[in-house]
Amino acid sequence: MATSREAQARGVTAGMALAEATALAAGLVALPWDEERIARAALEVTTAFLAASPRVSCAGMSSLPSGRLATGRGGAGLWWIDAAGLGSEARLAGKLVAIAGGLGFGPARAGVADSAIAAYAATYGGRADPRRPADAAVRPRIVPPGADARYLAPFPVTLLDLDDDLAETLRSLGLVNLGQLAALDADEVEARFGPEGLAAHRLARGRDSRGPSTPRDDALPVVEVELGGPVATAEPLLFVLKGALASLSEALHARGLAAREIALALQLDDGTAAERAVRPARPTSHPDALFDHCRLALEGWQLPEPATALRLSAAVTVPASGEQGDLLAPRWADPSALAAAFDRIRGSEGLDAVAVPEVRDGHLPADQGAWTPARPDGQRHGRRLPAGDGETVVTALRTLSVPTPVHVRLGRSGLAAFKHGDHWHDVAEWCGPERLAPRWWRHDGPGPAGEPSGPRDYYAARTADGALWLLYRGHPDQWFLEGWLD
Amino acid sequence: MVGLTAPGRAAALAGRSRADARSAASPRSDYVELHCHSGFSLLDGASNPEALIARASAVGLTAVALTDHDDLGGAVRWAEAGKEHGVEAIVGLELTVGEPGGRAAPGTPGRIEGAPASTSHLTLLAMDQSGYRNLSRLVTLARSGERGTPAAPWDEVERYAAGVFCLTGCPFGDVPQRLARDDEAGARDRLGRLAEVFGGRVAVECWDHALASERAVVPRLVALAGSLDLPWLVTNDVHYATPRGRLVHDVLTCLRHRTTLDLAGTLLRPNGEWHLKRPDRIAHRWRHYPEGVAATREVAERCAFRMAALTPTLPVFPTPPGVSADDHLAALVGSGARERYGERLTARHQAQLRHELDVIRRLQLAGYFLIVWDIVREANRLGVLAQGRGSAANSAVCYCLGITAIDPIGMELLFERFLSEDRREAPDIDIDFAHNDREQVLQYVYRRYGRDHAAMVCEAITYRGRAAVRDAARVLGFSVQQAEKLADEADRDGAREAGEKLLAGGAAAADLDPADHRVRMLAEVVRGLHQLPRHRSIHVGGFVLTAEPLADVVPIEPAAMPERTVIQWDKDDLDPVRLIKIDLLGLGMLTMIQKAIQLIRLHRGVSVDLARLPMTDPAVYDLLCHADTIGVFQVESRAQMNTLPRLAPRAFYDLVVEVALIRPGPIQGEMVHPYLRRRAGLEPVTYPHPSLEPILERTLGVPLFQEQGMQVAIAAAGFTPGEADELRRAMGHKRSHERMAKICGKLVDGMAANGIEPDVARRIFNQISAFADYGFPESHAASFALLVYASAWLKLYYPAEFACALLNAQPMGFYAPGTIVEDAKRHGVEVRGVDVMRSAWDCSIENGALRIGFRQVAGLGSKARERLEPLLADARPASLEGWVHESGLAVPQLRALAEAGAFDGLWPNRRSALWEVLKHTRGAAGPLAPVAQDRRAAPVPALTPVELTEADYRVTGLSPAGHPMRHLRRAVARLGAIPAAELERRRDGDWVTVAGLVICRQRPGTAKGFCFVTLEDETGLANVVITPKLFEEHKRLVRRSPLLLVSGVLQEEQGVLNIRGKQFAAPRPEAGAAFVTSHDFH
Repeated sequence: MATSREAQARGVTAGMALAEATALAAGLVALPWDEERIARAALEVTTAFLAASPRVSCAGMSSLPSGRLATGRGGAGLWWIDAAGLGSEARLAGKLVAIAGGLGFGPARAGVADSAIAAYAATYGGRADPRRPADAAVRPRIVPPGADARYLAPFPVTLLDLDDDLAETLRSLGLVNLGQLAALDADEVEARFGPEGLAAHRLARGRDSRGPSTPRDDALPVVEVELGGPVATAEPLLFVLKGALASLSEALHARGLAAREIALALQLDDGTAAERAVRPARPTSHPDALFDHCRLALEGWQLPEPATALRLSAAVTVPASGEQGDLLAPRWADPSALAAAFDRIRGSEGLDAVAVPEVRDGHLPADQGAWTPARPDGQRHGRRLPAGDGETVVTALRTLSVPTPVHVRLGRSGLAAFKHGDHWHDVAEWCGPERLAPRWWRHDGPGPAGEPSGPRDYYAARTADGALWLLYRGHPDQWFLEGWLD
Repeated sequence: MVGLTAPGRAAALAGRSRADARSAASPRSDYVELHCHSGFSLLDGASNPEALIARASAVGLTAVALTDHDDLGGAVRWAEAGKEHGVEAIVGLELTVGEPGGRAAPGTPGRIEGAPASTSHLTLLAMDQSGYRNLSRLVTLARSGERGTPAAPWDEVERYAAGVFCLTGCPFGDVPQRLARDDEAGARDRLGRLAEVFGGRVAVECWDHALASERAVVPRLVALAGSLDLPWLVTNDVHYATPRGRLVHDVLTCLRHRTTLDLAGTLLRPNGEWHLKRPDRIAHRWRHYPEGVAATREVAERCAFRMAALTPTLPVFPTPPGVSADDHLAALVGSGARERYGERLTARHQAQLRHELDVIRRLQLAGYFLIVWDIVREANRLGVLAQGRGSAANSAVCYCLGITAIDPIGMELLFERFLSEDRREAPDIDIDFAHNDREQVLQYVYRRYGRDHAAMVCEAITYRGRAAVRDAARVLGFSVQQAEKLADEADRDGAREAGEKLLAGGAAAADLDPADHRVRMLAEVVRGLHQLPRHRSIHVGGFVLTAEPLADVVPIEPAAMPERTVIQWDKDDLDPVRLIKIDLLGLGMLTMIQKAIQLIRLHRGVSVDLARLPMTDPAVYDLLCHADTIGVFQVESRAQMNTLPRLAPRAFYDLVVEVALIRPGPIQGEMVHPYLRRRAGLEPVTYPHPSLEPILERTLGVPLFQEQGMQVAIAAAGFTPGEADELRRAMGHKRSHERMAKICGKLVDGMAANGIEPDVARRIFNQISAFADYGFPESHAASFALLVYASAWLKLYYPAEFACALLNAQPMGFYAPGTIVEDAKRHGVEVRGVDVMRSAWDCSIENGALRIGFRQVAGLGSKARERLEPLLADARPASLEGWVHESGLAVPQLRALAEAGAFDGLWPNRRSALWEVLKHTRGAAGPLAPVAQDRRAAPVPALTPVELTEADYRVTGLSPAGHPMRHLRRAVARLGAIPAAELERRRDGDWVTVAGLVICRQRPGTAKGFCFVTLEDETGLANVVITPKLFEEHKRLVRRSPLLLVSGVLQEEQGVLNIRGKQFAAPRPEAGAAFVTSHDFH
């Protein structure tokens, strides 16, 4: 959970359950976590930073040295940016802070150092206190070249994301800051604390392998895989191919592209390379469709030497597009065609525009299922209900966004007709009632004055035209149409 | 939005009957609810038995059956409530039947979590005593397997069918389940078999909670019953008394399944129809099938068993051939009297003993006394210190049998407080044993009488405010931290009051928005959880024994503790069914005394005989007068320490008064200050009436003891001893207005008849009433006073052994080890730290000094003890490497030892030792990582003095080196704080500031919101009193801060110093947390 400043002022913090957050602030507006929006924001900031430096990488929240620091106050972003050869480091740092602020992501902090860990520490402005509030504005701190270890020395070892046992042991030994840790002999550290201790020791000395990188060329997604030794048969190659295609497909999706042609290259044991072009029937980014084509290409390929590495690249791409599929047309019985159609919808309407029904556990009809975005990985949710003869049928209830009040005519044998819109529907047969009560602990029902509505008596009614409707009688004796059964 | 149809709904569409629409005959109201779950269906019943009966009475049900899941724990309360409301209280249960094994699939509402998947439910009702006996046996059988998964096999059900009426159960019954699966033949077979086993005592159970799934099965159940010519009847499978009970039931369901309401889905029941409904409403619903309703009354009339029919008896104690129990008891008492009294045995003694033995004979209780005598005798044989407490000390018979240690004749104690023919109730004998060794005595009782005839009493742990808030908040989706904040607001209240408090500002004080719907629901749920059973634990020491198999009387089940079995009834359930309880209690102080005596014998060669202690030693009374009582039994609390200098005990009876004085009864009755003022000669000793002078003389005209209340009633109102005891009981624990009114009228009339003026009579009545509930019996106070004296004597003459034994008997008493050790040091005891080369597992005496044992090191538990003790007994490793490789301890445990300084003798500097230990712990990683023989100094900083103290406290809870406040003295002095010892040199009314570790926080219910805090520094203790208003203002700080700086006005009264706190601060918010384990709000 990320939180606005207003919500933070009421005590709402990252990681808090929604129920608790609303209990702190009854008027809280809760929005679903939006990976796409976050990714867009990260891309926006990264792009903006690229105007200041050629090498920028978003380390993201998970790359922060301390998860605790990252999640403590509503989430934060971290970027590694190359400052080499760009003139005044102070000016660059100021410029970066201004860029972030200009995009509405302030107040940002910047630190400059030889290593990522020292630069990160420097974002605290020289105060060896990583608990300092994240929104406190500080002047960019520049760590002189070659001085990272000295700069890091007063910082507490908690700056590093150590496991509890190692942290406790260091504390017991009186090693409370990075300088004390750095002063130890590396061999002695390894002998006592193993690889994790050694890694912490390296960081304490300002030796950090992390850093900025050049953004990839978006136009040509490439995936390379070392095979771990010479491979002479297709089977292991196919195994590797599947994963590589999934990565490639993901990269294409991220760019809204479909591949018209894939370049499939193999590095051979003698140092030479072999390459083939794979062209699907229509542009696609669907991994299953691409796999079928690539597999055919591999299986018929005579190689002079065993392969040692595989490289896939989208040689020719087009914007993800496609015509609307017709699931009943035989020519569309092709996963790649379906995928292409879905890609087009996602491209124009957003990643969540394609959804599948998901079965959920609840008593109320509205609680028994939901539409969830269908991810391009092809995962699907659904429930098949047993039919009488052992076959299964899928039955779905189409609910109205808000139950509609309806007039009901009761006959001698109960429910006789109901009026929806301008039409009276004669009821041929019905069953019920099934008494269901809404979630009393949540106030999202149609009940009056902040109270959840009372129990509802549900009826299923079949009308003369064979349609099956779901109605309920609420309190006080008011009828609603909730939906109909497909 | 999309949803999927429930199979039942669509399936029911085609075949739905239109019967509901047909015209109805007029409803009959002869419905009896035969299926009803109380809170004893743990976490599946949302109302207590009393609430259900009250509701039944209110809606016009004349009879109702209790049918908890595999449990008869509510049966006695059910029966008592039935009697009170005039409702026929039928006893039954819903038995889980099937072969144990496997777990129930999650997500099955109504099914008990953890119940075997292959099981089903069966409703069984007791028709007569044999039926009740069989139900009890079946529950015992069902619960004899794995805890939490009760299930009785079908063949056992068949074996114990006599006297039982069987209903086919809820939708999870075998018959309805089979029908729901379309296994009609299987259902017919099962029902046929039940009919065969139960004869004409079977009916098919039908229900309607407005659910399609039930409606699909019920017509088939009715048809099946008809086809086998069996009756069918209606139940509502009740799980709560009123419709609002659904909220609480949903919450309990979530707790059972360890989930939250938002995630529970169909684990929750779909609506709130499982309440106790009006009979006319049931009759209306089933108006087309009146036979199903009428059958409920017919079955109810056949289920005539009531709990009052139970008549359990005690086991027969084996006596010599031809000797009756009465004669055997008389012989033992005679022998004991000669031993106890010797030459002091007079005709008065003989007469009292004869009187007591006559009463015992007439009440046929000789066997009971022999049983208790036998238990005490066995404890003596085992070397386990034992002493009777409570009203048993009023009995000269108990004294002569060695059960109690107080001479009731010498102290003129009232026998009728213990045993009365008028009362015709079982006597209550409580015996304390050294708590560490009590298990030996308990296992002896099991062995002596057999597990079929002996078991411990259970304790139904019920919801109070804090637990209710915590559980409800968690289920409603709040975080643990938020739940804790809310629980703080609940304070010590009951759940009902806690719920009210949340609405009246508690939620806002915990930073929640009271406008939020969920917050309001939280308050309602908390209120609804009031006093509902949450789980079952073992009573502190209550044992019941029966001649007949105990399982014929009450179900027995294995307790969580190994080798323990408990019955399903609470101690309050025993009296109504005439079960006699013997309390075999564990008392830490007896363990301490036992250990101290052993240490004194071992190290000083002195044998201490408690029975022969000189009870008049002025030095002991001096110690008590100075309230130098940390670790002394009963008088170490803040309130007792405040009273001791004022009461200034100089004789044993003063200790009896001291023990009884600081109790809720005398405090509420405002008797404490009058007594102390009279004792100090500040006010004259007067009596409400001259006839009361002989009774109240020894307590200076102020009634303090329950016996005095009884004697007042005898003298002033002409009560018999039995009537006087009835008065005490009427005013006691569970006051009944009707009973009170009756006996109080008699008391006032009696006093009027004796010429006592009405206003005096009213005053006397109020005094008796005030302490009848909570006041000590004099005999009990006298028993405890013996231990007060003994422990004070040990502390005075053997302070090292005293402190050592106190540490080894932990957990017990009022103070943490750090405070005990600081107190020992103030008494001249040298304290030495834990040392791998010298310490034993326990703390020990080493050349007169106290050596801390391994037991004090955090992280060393029973498994570490098992590993260490053989090593300590043989040759201890003489190197760090040896300890690493031979001790079998894990790295964190070795780290703790190093931090505690336990390796100081082998390797100077604790951190260097740890550095070395770590090298060796990794040395065994493999041949590629050989351990270098490196003798260079460890590159780690040495401990500073403050770090050393901090490490001591963090790892062992104490520091031989000194009190933590030493290191903060300069800092707090800058803030104006003076040492605690300095307070004695200040004057009453002075403005003072002190700082110290908070070792005790108390806010007793009798203190009207005042909070008492005890601070400890390197020189002693400082007592702080905080007014309710200031406590509310500084609540968080006072509750949470381990180190407090307090400024206020010094008050001196009769040598007692208190600071009336005005200003509060935490000198360094994070400081002190490692130093203190405070005794909070007990």
